Amino acid sequence: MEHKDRTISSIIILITLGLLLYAFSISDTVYSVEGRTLKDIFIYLIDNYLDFILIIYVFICFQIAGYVELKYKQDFITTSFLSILFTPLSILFILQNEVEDD
Amino acid sequence: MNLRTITNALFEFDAHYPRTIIATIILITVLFGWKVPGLEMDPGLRSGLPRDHKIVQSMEIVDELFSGSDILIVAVDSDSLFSTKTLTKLFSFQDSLESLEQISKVTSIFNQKYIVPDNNGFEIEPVLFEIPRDSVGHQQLIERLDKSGMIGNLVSNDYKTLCFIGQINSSFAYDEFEFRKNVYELVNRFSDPEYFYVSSLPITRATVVEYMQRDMRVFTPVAIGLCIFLLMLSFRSWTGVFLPFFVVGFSIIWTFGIMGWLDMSLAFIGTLIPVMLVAIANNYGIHIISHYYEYTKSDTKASRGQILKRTIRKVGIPILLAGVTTMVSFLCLLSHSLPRAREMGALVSFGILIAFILSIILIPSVLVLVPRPHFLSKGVDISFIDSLLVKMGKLFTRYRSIVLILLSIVGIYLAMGIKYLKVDTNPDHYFPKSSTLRIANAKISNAFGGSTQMNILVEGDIFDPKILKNIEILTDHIKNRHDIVTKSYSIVDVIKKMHSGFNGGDTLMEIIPDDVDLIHQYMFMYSISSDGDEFDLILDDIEDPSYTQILLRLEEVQTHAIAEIVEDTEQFIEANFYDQSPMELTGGATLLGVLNHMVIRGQFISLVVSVFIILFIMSIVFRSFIGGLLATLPMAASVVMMFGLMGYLNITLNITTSLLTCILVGVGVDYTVHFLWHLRDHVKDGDSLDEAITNTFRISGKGILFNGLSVVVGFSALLFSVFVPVRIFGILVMGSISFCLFGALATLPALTSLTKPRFLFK
Repeated sequence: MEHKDRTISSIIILITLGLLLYAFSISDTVYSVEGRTLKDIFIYLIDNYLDFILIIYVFICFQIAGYVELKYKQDFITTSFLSILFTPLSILFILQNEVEDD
Repeated sequence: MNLRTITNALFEFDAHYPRTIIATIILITVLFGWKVPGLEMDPGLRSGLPRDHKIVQSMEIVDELFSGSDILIVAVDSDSLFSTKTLTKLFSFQDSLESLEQISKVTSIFNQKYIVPDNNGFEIEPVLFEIPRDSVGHQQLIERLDKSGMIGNLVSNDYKTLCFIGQINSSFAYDEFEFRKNVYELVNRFSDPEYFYVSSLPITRATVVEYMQRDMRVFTPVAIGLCIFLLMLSFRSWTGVFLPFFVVGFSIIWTFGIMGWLDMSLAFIGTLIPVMLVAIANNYGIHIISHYYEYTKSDTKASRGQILKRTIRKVGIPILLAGVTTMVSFLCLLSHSLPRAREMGALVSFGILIAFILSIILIPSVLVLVPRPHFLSKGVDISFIDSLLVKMGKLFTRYRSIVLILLSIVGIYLAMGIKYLKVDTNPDHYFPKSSTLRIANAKISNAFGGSTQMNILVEGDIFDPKILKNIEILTDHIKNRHDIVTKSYSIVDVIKKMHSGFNGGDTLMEIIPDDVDLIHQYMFMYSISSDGDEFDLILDDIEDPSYTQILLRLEEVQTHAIAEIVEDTEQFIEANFYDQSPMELTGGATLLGVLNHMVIRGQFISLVVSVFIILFIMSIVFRSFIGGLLATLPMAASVVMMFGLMGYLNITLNITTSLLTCILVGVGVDYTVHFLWHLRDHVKDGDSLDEAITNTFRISGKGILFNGLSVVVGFSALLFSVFVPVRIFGILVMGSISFCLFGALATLPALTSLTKPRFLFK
């Protein structure tokens, strides 16, 4: 039963990814980066989408904290705040070091 | 197949195909989300109006025959208003204003003419022949302004403010945002050192819509952020925080997605949908998670599957009932007079249905796959809340009579405030007193008697003296009866002036002549001595008109006053001119006044209907009328108390706030449903009534509490609104949801303990 579940879900995920790639390829709203420096793109994003960037950042932090909570049995609230303050990826490095030390 | 078999089958499906379920939901979300970026905003008025309404139909006639029924007023304030430099600049402004696409005609001292009596009858002369260059010319201009009667109309009494009245060329078919942008760009180009004030109902409407969009961009993340914060404190785990959150997110995407797939546009009222779903849609997930955690704590050795099976069996039906009652409260909007409100009712119901389905399918599928939060197995629990809830239950049952008497006194006192409740939807009052819009409206209102216009459309042989006299009688009646009407203008004023002018300017002769041929003659003389377009706004044809309109200027948009004018005018027409040419009130302001009251009345009716439907459903569910009454009473009492509180605090009811009351009905009943259902379950399991109340508080109390708190926290996002009434209403909804919550957690234990209703023991 589990094998069947895994197979069907993998097919559906592949279809979903295909759809997302197709949607991205036909989208005409993608910001043109041609002739722009990285600095221009950075300023454009900060000026127009600062709220979205912050929301996405916090969201990623929470997801990493959730992963750490479930995988390494850490406290979710503490990990979330650490993650937001010290960037989400650093939490994984901290945990990696802890495991090595042990 | 009974509900229990369905919940078991559902659990089997969740347990065996969790990954497939998750992947399928993601795929469907992508498919729905596909159309979300292409969703169009529709700020236009036309699509939101009931097409069969007689005022809408008459507005369409006005659009076709004359021009739009809305006006734009630009007032210019200057200490040297009549200096050559300022007048030259303002003359140029007039040209620019006339060149705006949405403006059909501009009236100001630069193009106005007036009737001057002479030996041969009368002459039509412009008020301003040319811009005066010296003090003599300035003095002559002021004299002509006095004679022409333009002081108080186009120039203020202190000669410091001058106004331009632009006639907007359509009532519906233009983009109000574009119009507002064009007007402000133009005004900014000309302002300084003079002050320009702009006022117009379409500009106010566009500003309201723009602020609502801004509110949506602020509300949604703030509400979600606050809910996440609350869920973090409540459940202390990713599963407790993000599973209800994903349900909310997916239900919002699916709801907007279905709008996209059905080619529906997003009206300004639709911007409330995310806030409503954020506040409501996570409730079902919260109950599942809360019970899952409680059962895990009470039986740490049981497998995830066993705990989940028990959870779904215990909470499946109450959350189904909670979902159904919430949907019913929103589906009652289908009887609403406004198409957009009907649409919103259907869409929010769809969102709630999706949230319910996802809660019972997606959440168990994820819970089957991920380990339980480690703090549950460690035995570290949120015992403070548990013990507090249990103590509350015991307190309310022990002192039940005192609790009930106190609650009744407070409830009756608050409910009595309902007699002070006022309905007012003046869009100006949405903004703080310091806002540019309100300052401009106040300035224009003081100097020129307001910036809002009502129209009366008259059909028939317009130059017939009988019809003209009817117009005069009706206009006088409205002006004498309603202080809000500051000015009027109709063909009668012009004919009376011409008749007086023809009789040497004798003011006693400023009357409607009885001879129809004389009137035709006057009109002919006027047309040959002027450009001939002066009557475009009030006559459909200058030679043989069959339609005319009376223009009434209003001091401000007081919808209740407008509704009174409409009612009184209709009665007056019916009583005095029932067998004569048809006359009817029309125009954007009239429609606003009539619709607002219609909407709010309709909203009240749908509220009452939804309460009765919920009472009926609950009576069937508990197979007892008393059971239904107990489930509905706290919510109904909270609604009444909220309206009473609004009355005491002088907070008026408007369209937005009245629509939000649906939430109160839909959500308010959830707490009582959960409480009574679980209480009955515990009684069935063999507990005495007091033990059952304690166990209900221990097992389900936290779910009910967190559910209520998440709604309160979700609505606290309204405090960030630009609109004053929405902010206040946010506080009120938070307060009244707290009433509902308190009603479920205090009134119900006291009432059931006192009355020992039989349905609990069946």
